[in-house]
Amino acid sequence: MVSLDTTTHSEDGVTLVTLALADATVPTRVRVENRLDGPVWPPRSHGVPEEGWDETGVTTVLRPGRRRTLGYATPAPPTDPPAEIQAAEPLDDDGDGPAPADVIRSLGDPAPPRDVVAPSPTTPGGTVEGDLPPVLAAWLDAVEARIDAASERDRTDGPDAAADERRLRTLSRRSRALAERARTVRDSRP
Amino acid sequence: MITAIAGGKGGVGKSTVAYNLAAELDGVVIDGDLGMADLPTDRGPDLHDVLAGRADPLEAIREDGPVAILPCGRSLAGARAADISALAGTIERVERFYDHVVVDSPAGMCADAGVPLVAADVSVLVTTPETAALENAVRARSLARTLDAGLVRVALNRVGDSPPTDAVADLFGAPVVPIPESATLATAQASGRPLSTAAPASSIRKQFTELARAVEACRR
Repeated sequence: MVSLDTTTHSEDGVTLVTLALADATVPTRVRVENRLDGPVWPPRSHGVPEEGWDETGVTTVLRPGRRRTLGYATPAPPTDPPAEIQAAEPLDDDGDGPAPADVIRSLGDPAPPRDVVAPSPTTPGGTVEGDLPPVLAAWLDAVEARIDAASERDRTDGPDAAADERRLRTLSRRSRALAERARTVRDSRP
Repeated sequence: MITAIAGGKGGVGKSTVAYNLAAELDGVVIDGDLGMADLPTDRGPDLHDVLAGRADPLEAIREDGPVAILPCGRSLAGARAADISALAGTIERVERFYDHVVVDSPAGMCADAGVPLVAADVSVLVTTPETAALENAVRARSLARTLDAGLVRVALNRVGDSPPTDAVADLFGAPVVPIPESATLATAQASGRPLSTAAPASSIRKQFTELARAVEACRR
């Protein structure tokens, strides 16, 4: 039966969790869930979480006779156990093929660097983003600068990034809902 | 059905092949070269806008010309704001509304060259007989293989009288469609028209008809 050993190390309000999986007798798909009271900050490559990682844990394949060591960070304080195996199923060998995220992770984002792009103008008649209110455009620029800085250092995101992500998703949900309502009003006009 | 036009090296004629293939298949061509738009366009939402979440893909497709096009944007700011991870979903969404989608991929080996191959059912490699182009095309071939975009044909562009079709077919493991150097093709492309409207009876058009037949034959 697949076994999991864990260790934790805390520093500056961040807990680093190490997972060591072993003892598979057949190729097994293993799901490990974080049990600490906070989000998983997975290892990332070019800003994209490494394959198998998500907000609550990791899914990986363990071959017989092999040991697999993985790690993640979280802002939550350490408790015991920090993570547990939620599922361990023999592999059915139905590979799905590479996903777009794998491609971005391995080939890199082709976007021009921030330095070569002029700051987005906030006057009307500028770029498409010139329509946004200056306060909102400035906030988005600041968020983008934080994300760029974190990804250029190629490390897992910090507390700012979690809060930024939360606010961006809230903004996105609310914007989408309002845009739909605006479109409905527009479409209903004769 | 999604066909990715790949090639590795810039300037070998990917866009010309993509445009004409889309014309023969009566499909839509997506200009996926995010850093440098290649295909004719005008004002209105484009692929940069789609990938930045500002427009739905269908809003960005121009249907008023001889070939339906989803053009790319032309600004660095637009290229920067474009979220490459949205490209695969964009291509798949367009495919729900068009029988054939041809994606013109950029040169190089970044994600913007790779993502169309992931989304595609098949690929067409474009190269010229020059060594530099062939070397780049070999790398693109290897990427297409890794990303499961089966190679249908190699379009060997700008060839002269005795194109090395056998040698190139051996190198890439796929049949070759030679496309001769052609003033007819150059004129048509410069005027923003496919051969199917600019020179429908020309012998060079037959090469693209043959390419389209090969792509269509791969449809599952």
